[in-house]
Amino acid sequence: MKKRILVVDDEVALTRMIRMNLERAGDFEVRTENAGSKAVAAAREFRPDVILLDVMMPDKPGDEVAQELKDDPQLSGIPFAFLTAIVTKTETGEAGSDIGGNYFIAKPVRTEDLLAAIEKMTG
Amino acid sequence: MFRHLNDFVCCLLLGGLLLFSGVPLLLAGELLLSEKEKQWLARHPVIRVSVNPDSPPIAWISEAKDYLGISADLLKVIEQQLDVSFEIVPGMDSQDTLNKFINGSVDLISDATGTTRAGGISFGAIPYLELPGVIVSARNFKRLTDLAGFRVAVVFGGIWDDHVSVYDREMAIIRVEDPRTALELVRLGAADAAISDVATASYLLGKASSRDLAVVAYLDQKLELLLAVHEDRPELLGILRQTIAGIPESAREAIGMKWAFTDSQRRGFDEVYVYSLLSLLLVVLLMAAFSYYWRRAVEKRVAIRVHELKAALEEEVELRERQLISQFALGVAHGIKNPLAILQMGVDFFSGDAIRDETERAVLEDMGQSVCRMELIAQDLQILSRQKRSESEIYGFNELVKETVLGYQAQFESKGIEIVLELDSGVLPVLMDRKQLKEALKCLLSNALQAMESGGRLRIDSERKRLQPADMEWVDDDFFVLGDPVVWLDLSDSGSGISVENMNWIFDPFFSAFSQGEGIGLGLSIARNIVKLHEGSVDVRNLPQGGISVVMVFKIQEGGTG
Repeated sequence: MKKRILVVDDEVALTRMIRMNLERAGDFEVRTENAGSKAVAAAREFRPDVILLDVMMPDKPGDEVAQELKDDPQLSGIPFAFLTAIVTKTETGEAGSDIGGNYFIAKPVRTEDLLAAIEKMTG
Repeated sequence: MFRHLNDFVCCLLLGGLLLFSGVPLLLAGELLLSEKEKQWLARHPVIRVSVNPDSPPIAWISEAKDYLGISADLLKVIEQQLDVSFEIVPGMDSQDTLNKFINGSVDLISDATGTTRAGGISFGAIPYLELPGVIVSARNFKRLTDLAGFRVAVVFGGIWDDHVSVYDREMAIIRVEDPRTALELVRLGAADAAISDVATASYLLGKASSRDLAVVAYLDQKLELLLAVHEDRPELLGILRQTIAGIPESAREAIGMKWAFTDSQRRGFDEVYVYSLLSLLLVVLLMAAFSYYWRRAVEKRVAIRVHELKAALEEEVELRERQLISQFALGVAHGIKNPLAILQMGVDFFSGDAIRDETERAVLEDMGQSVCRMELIAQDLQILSRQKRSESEIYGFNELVKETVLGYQAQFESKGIEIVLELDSGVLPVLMDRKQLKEALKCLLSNALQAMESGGRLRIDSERKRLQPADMEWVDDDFFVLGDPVVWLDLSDSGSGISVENMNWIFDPFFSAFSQGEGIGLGLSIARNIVKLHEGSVDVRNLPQGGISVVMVFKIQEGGTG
């Protein structure tokens, strides 16, 4: 069964490239959203296995979206990762890591590292 | 000193007056003497003079039997003019002096005074000097009438007795034997004032060295000094009248001044003058001292304030600078990293299955490596922008050094650089954000790598110590004080060192002492930024033998564990 990945980032080109690379690399069904405010509704509708969430988005920052996801009983079980430029690989490593209870992946990330991160998160 | 000086000045004054008055130039032959007078002089080459033995300063006989005083000086002048000699026949006292005169055993008295109680003796009087009367007192009497109701001492039977007798009802007049006793009564407080002539009063005050008494007022009444010539010597009377008349009044006054204005007058004057001068000097000195210390105090306060303001300004500028660099670095980092993420995904996309030949693969690899390099720059900027430690833990400093060096082992070996680790054998617990501090060490190791492109030696020493005075110039005094327990890390390379002009800028962002390299001059800035976030110090010095020594200092967590 295909893993469903929701990618939320205001950079349209980036979400498109991630979708293309993930879908080609494996058995993934990827949905992209380019506004933080649409993330929760998309998650409810799409029921993803993993959510990749940008932090610095103009309409709604990723940490607020994350809090809404945690607060929603239907969505709180879905693992998510902040895919963000605010951290460095010095702090997260290549494939991301847990920092203060949240999973962080540093931009730019290579596709193979992103796959490893998704694998780690979905166990 | 003043007394002697004034005596000297008085002598000069007297000499000058006598000289310019022409007195010494007058000769006896120039006097218009009658024949009888000339004959008398020829018959009497020695003229006998009786004087009071103890009436200073008008006349007295010194212990050396010298005749001194105003009258003595006058006789010397007369001797010069008449070419005669005076034989001094001192009386036992004033009465004896008078008796010698009356019985004709002497020709004249040189220190007679005009008084109404001369005893009815007939004589020829030649006045030669007038001495004003004065009030001597410790009180500030201005005139004779001020003495009403006070005790006034005068010499019995003298001119001043005559003068104050009219105030017998107003004043308590104390009559004494001589002026010295009169002044002594005043000095002892038995009398409020004494009246005498100015010469006698001044002379006695000078001798008595009484600080409190002074001549406080001059009277209109004057004591007249006379040459009293026996009535049987009319020729002598005539000769002396002419002689005295030939001596200018100014010269005679000078003789009086020599004695009159001696110690007491000058003492009073000198004391006031000297005390005023001393007071003035004291005031000037106090003002100067006050001015000096006030200026010093103000200068000190201003210097402290300027120093504080300068320090505050520098701190503010540095803070603002750091904030600007931080904002700039963060903005650039974020701005770069999103496009880099897209490029990285693009490289990955094309690297997947669309590669047609080796050329395309090589191009994609170059693109991928460029993305990595740009990512490292963005990452450096981001680390530079950090304003606080993300995490804090107590961790062994030696372990951190070993872990970091291990990661660079291969690079050092590939460049032929020998690493010598001399780490302290003890545990060096330091409160740190391990990732950040590792990054700072990495920056220093990268720097050493670039400094020794053609091989060399990197010595890394760590030491646990307490800060000594000599260490303080290496550390930031915002964070360290003398005696602090610290870990002292020294990285000494064998590179070419840093030029003096570059030494000032090496910690500035975007400054690189190396002409080529992968970085953009952020390494040492990042290291310093991280070290500061850990309240530590980092400094760089050139080594005498070449290369540089980088010293990092952090506080040891006493009681902590590695």
